[in-house]
Amino acid sequence: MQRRDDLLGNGYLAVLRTTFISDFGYRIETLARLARRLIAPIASVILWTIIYAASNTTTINGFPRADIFIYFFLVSAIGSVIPNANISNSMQYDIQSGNVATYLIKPFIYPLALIAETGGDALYEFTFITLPIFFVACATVGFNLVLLRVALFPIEILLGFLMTSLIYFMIGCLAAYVINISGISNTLLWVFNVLGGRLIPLTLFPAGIASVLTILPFASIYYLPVATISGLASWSYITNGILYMLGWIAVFFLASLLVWRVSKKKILAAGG
Amino acid sequence: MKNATGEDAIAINDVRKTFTTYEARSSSFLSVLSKRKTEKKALRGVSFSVKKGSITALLGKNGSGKSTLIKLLVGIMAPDSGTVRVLGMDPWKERITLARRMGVVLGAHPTLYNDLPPAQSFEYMRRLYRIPKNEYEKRLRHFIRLLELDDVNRRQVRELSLGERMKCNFIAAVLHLPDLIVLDEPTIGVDLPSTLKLRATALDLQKRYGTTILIATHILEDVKVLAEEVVILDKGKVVFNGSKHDLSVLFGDYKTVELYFAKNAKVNLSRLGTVVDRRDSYVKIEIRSDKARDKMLAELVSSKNVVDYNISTPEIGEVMSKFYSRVGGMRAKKR
Amino acid sequence: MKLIDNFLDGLHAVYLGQLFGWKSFLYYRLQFIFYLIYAAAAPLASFLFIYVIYHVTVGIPGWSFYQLLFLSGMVGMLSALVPYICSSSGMVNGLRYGYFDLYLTRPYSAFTALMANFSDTTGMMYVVDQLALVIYAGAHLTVTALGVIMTAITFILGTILVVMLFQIIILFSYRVLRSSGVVNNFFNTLTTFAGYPLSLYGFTGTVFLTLVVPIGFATYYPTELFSGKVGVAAFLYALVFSAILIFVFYKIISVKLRGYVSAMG
Repeated sequence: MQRRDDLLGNGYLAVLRTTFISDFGYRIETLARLARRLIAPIASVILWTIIYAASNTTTINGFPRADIFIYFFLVSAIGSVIPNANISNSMQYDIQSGNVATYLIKPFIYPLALIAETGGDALYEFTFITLPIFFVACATVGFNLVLLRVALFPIEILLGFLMTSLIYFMIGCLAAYVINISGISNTLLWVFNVLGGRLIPLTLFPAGIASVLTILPFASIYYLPVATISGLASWSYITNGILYMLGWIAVFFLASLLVWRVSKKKILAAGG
Repeated sequence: MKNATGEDAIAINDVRKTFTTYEARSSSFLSVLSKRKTEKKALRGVSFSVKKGSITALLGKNGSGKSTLIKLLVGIMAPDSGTVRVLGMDPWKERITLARRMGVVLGAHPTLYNDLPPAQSFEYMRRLYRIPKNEYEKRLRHFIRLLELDDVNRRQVRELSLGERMKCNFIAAVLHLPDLIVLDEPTIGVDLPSTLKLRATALDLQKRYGTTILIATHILEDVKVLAEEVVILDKGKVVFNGSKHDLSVLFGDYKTVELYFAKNAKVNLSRLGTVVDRRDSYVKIEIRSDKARDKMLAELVSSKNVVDYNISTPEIGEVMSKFYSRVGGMRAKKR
Repeated sequence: MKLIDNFLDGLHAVYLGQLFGWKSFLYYRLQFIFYLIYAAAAPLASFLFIYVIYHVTVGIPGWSFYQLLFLSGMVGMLSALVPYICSSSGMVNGLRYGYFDLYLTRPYSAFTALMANFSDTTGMMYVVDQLALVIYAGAHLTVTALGVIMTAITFILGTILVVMLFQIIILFSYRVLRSSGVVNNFFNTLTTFAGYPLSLYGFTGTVFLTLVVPIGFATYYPTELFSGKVGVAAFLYALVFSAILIFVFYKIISVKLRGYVSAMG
């Protein structure tokens, strides 16, 4: 991880910038991801269109049929930025190769360095995948953009990024204890897909489950930002959602500190 | 150039290999769609042979074509032209049959199961090569004793030192007692005691079973201790092929003499040889070996001018560096 | 005879690769259970997803809750099995850093080397949990013994096909890009579509996901066979088509591997 060497003297922002720039080196991968993010939501759109047609209705649980297209495309677009699973992959590499020891003795905070590095990746993804799909979706369907909602959109994504970074940081710490954590982070994606609103808009859940999901951290990953910008969510839902998310970030932050403190010794012993 | 005979374990004749790579023309976003074709000639007409039961060192700097040559020998690649015969077979066409009679150690590449004790990897090799159980146990005991590995059952491979790992790698590659062993940088990064044991084991294999060994290396000590024959590759061509002794005679028929002179001694050294170093009363001089100069040297060291002296014959390392500078020099003149 | 010998040698090598892969994994006994419990999250999430669909809507026309659950379990198994047999990052690293060279110095074919050396054993736990979902869903469907056998055979052939397709794409993308990023994106997109009945995508979509990218053989057709939507005739068609595709893929892989050039020197 040569790019992390920028930390010496230049600080975390420099790492973010270097990561962003070095991502340009993987253009074909970017195109492949863009293609996947554009093609994959078609499956959901087809599925739900057929379900709505079979149910012979235009709204189910308050979710209008007309919003299916924009919803699944925007969810797909956000999916390239959050959840930030890169963090645990990076950590697994660092810990199992033993490189982590060299980072821990350098004059920077390793967890912050990880967030800066993956933040560069996320910014790159946001610029070259999320925004293009957003514009394509807007141009295709067209919906009313409310300035305040547009302004809240990137903020919610940023908060979602931070929250999932903390979750994956804790999973990354597991790399010192188990052989392979990539399966664990993939499994978590399945959970996020369903409970976070990637496969089903959360309002479609039965009322009881839906209200529980709103409080849980998953809702803010996909559903909240998309529901905000597309006008699906009411103002009270948005403010509550952001407050819940800030609360969860605080909880996960404290939990991360604890996990880091407990596992640090084991992490240092691994690989080295 | 030696001709290939039935006694050769390896016979290579006028082998050529060119690689084609594609590089992006520019760094723009779509540049991946148009790439420039570049060709790299890795081997440019290589011929040499290796006698059965001999130990041959294959020397060459990075990019000299060594690795390519090894890949041709084990059958991972086919040559563009020329013939490769290993143990009487065409490696590219009969790779699998050949693999049963060949053992290969490729530098630092992991052969062993990292999460298991090395004994498990040996067991894997036993089953893969279908070695009879009692034979296998006899061989394993022998190699473990020779290499002084204490316990191959207790610790996981990931917990072993690099030296121990290389020893285990070596065992895994030779358990099926191959007729030919190809060692690519087998002692790179390995500590001295382990290196010595690895060399001793290679020699033991040659003496006991008549195994042919080809060793590609950067480490000249390997050559000095092990090799009888030396092949030197440079820029895809064989620039030297002969015995280790020939190499020393060609480029190392000189001695280095260190002289400590008495005060106020006045001696003309220019007729004797080339002065390499001179400090106060100390002179280091390189002298070509011939009768006249030997006589002059004998007279000099017995005279009152010289207080003390030390005569040494050159190390293979010095021979090699002289050799490379001469090959380089010849190239420079041609241009 | 030589052909059969080579085939048996290949099988033996793949078996050994599996055996020692498992030995490695079982060296960490506790983790075995840890993965088994953790991996259950994926089929549970699928269950919830399909439960919601059938709870709040009338569902997909022509498909019952348990049929869709069965399909989702098949897709889950496939998406765990493919990386289990052939981990894309492992394979690209093997090609890039030359481990593959090392495997080629052993007495088996290049294709065997590919099948025997790049499995990620931890992936099996995810397969086991998805299988549990398949069995649960299957228990609620009326089936015949013949149906089960036909389903199993089609699934195995389909999985082999998808693994081979995966290997071909890895080899191509390694040649061009030296990385595995594209492959994973492709596979992800594919399993997203395979998660729903192919009939949703119309005739063109079905043909594409059957004959061009043959993921249908591993997920959709086994589900149709199992739930009795199609019968023996369809099974025989699937058998013939997948056999032809396996042959074609095998040829492509063999040719690709012959031209393989690792780190040059």
